[in-house]
Amino acid sequence: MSDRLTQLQDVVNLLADHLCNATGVLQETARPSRFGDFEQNSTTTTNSNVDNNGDDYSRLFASLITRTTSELVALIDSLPAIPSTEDDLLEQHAQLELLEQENIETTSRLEQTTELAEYLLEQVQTCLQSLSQALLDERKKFPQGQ
Amino acid sequence: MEPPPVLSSAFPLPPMSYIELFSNDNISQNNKILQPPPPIDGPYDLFGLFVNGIDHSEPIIRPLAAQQIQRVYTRPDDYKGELKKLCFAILTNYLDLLQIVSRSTLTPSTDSGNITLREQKLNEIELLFINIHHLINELRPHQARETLRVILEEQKQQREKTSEKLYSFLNRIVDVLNSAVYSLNDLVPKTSN
Repeated sequence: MSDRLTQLQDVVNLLADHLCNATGVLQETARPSRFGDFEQNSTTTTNSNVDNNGDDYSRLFASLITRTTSELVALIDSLPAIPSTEDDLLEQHAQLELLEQENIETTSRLEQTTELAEYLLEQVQTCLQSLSQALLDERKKFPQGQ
Repeated sequence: MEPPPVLSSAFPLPPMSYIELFSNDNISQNNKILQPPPPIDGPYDLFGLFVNGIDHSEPIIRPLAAQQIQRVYTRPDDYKGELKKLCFAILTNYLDLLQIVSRSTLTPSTDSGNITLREQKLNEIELLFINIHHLINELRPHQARETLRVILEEQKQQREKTSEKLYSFLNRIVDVLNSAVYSLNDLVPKTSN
């Protein structure tokens, strides 16, 4: 799912596509229009835009375009408040700098804790080593469990 | 007897000449570790096209629409209102276009006799679309800053949590060790002298 601005731009492009397609298709499938005073032999009873197959393209495209427009308006409404004044921009800037500072502090604290953990690990390892060495020496001295 | 299984992987090997520079010994000696190259300043080659470097003096992120194209929206403060106005302007202009095209295509326009009404209307619709896209693009820097803010927050939270958990583990370890030492002291008989 792309971010909201990209979605917005996609819907705008979709609206443009609908408009172009609508004009094209309606022009292609339109019935020949009547001349003003000129009498025509074939007097048609219906005057609607219904195609031979019964597809009402004008209604279809009208609904598509209105649906896309309402989608666009809904997306625009869902946008969050956007800072436009200088004060808001300065505030945003200050927030970012503060966050960066705090990030650096937490990083250094994490590094310190990691160092402490590594030191403790070293200590425990040396203790284990000396213990196991002492055990081995004892077992060598008294091989038969005396 | 089966031959020992050959270690193979689906992926090709990494570039060995590059990896050998980062061996453990090299890092511990801090011996000329390859730094990533700094970002390029000035013009560079982008997909075969020469691109000018980023000019930090101008707000290049949001190039002004007034350079080449007329700006239609009036107040850049109220983003939502202007976007909606542009959207409905597009629809009304489209209806006008339909009316023009259905009545007469070749009428020259009243403003400038060179182009037809239809072309003038098409140009207006094109202008509106360009404006609406430009307005949306002007919101991008703000989006980038907000994303950066969220990422920094998340990083900070994660680092704080990790260091706290690690600290509590260390405390527990120290407690366990102390209790082990005390119980050991109880077991060992006191040597006189």
